[in-house]
Order: sequence, then C-alpha cells, then structure tokens
Amino acid sequence: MRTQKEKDFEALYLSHKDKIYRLCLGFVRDKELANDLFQEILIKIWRHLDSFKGESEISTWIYRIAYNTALTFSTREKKQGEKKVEIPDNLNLTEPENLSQELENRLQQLYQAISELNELDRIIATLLLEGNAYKVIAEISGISENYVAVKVNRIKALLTQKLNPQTHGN
Amino acid sequence: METNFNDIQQLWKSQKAVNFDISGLIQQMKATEKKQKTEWIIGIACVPITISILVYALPLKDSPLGIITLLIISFGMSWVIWLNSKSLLGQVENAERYNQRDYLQEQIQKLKLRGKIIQKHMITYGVILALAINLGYLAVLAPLSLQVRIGAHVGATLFIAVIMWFTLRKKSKKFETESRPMIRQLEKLLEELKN
Repeated sequence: MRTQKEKDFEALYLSHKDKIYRLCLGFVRDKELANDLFQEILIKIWRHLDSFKGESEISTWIYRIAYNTALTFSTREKKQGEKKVEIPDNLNLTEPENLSQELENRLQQLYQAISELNELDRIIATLLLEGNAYKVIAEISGISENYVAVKVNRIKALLTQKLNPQTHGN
Repeated sequence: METNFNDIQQLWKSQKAVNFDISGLIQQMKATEKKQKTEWIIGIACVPITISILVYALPLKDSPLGIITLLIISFGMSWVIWLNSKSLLGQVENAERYNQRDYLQEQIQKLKLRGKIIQKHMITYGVILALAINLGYLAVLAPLSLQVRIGAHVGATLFIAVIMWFTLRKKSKKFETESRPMIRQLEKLLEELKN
C-alpha cells in the first residue's frame, strides 16, 4: 500500500522531472554528474516534502531546493569535496529517447554556452529558458526584479550570439 | 539554427529527463531514512548511556565531586552533539522562504561554524573533559596514595591532550582542504548576488 507521501512525490516527479533534469545539465554538462545531481535533488525533495506548507507555489519550492542543491553540488564538484547526501546505488537510469545527432550537437552547444556563464547568470538563464516570469526568477535567486531584467537582456543576447556566431560576426 | 531566443527555448525544452525506476528510488530512500534515523537515535542515546555506565561502573554518584563530574561530562557531550548538528549542511526545511541569497548565507555560516568547532570549541571541550575527569579522579582515587593520584591526574590529562591534538590536527587539515575552498566559492557567489 503506497503512502500519501509516495503518491505526492510521484506526481511531483512526473510533473517536474524534465525541468529538474535540464537544470542539472545546465549546471554540470557531464551526463553522469547530471544524473547524480538529479538524484540528489529528488532525494532532497523527498526528505523535505513533509515540511512543505503551501506558503509558496510548489514549483517555486522545488526550484529553490533544486538550485540550492545544484549550487552546493557544483561547488563541491569543483573542489572535489565530500558528498553529504547518500545516493542510492544500482538505480536503473535510461536515456529518454534517441535524440537526432544534430539536435544533440545543438543541445551540447547550448550547454556549453550556459556553462560559460557565472553561477548566478546560469541560474537566471535556466529559469528563463523554462519560461519563468521575472518575478519568479527574482524570488528564487534573491535579487530584485529590475536587476533580473538587466541580467536577462544580457543573457539573451549572449546565448543568441553564442548559438549563432555567423550572424553576429564572430 | 536558433535565430532568436524563442528557438533557443524550444531547443532547451527538447531535452527530456532520464527515465528510472522511481518506485525503486522511493524504496531505497525509505531504507536510507530508516538507517539515518537509527544512527541519529544512537547518537542521542550516547549521552545517557555513557552517564549510566559512569554512574554504575564508578562510585561517582556518591560524592558531590562525582556528581559535578557527571554533570560536566553530560553538558560537554550534549554541547558537542548540538554544535555538530548545527553545522550540518544541506538543510532545506525552510526552502519555501529561502532564496538563493539566504541559502548561501546559511551554508557559509554553517561551514564557518565547522571551522570554529575545530579551532575553538573542540579545545574547550577537551578542557571541560580533562576538568571533569580530574574532578572524578579526586573523588574516586581518594583512598590511594598521593603519588598514584598525581600520576593518574597527569596521565589522564596528557592522554586527553594527545588525543585532542591528533584529532584536531586531522580535522583541521580536512577543513582547510575541503571546507575552506567551499567557503571561498560560496562567498564569491554571494558577492555576485549582492552586486
């Protein structure tokens, strides 16, 4: 018999897994590391699901956990520190579908462009790519909406330029 | 080719998550939770267990000095457990209210507390422990000769000092190689958020 928590978690997983996974790839390009980060985020969501009181949107809550985990994870990876979260072994991870080689190459270009941004810009870029409003981005990152707007313009221009080098004369 | 940002957004969203057995993950997480809960209960139970052993194995409860020893040891152990629990990373209970800035500030604070525990609090704990053991010895070793008693006091104090020195040296090295660079990196991130 499944508990209510298990049902809620599965529903959240189904509705947010793609967003969380993309966020992971935005932070760590290596797929194996992205899978580790993905699992670490899911584990944290599971652990703290009982503490969610509905004071914010569930997606904002998930984003906060995801970004905070990603920040600590990427800092730890950079410094080769210890892992605080015990990641279960032997989980069966399979690729979702065979993306065409061309699409895969373009995605890799995009991840490369995102990985060249600093951490704050990376957070804003990934939230923006998911189509979040400036208000949500400001809430999650802790910076003002005006500053988000400034950053967004810069990030949009930068990503467009990096993915279209010919049209921008580079 | 992505000529505008909307195209880039479409490209971004074309990536789907890896599929894995979510039920398997839940079962493993439940097992991990159970294990961690047990470990935490054992950690908490260490204080009363140690005190019970001291009460029943040594004649400490029969003298005021012995009772002070027991109180000091209980306080010292509880204090260290409390400090360590406060320095644990990755707490996201307040994620509903926490934005990135608050989170980074808390993580930096916790990492710095780890350093403070090693550089300051563990030394205090060592002094408290040495004091408690010496007080206990005053009560327990009273019937023995002065030479034996002095030997026991000096021996116990030196033993604690040596153990503490080695432990702190090891912990300090670990802190400098792991936590210190993390603090610097997180402070850099926080600075970016503030600018």
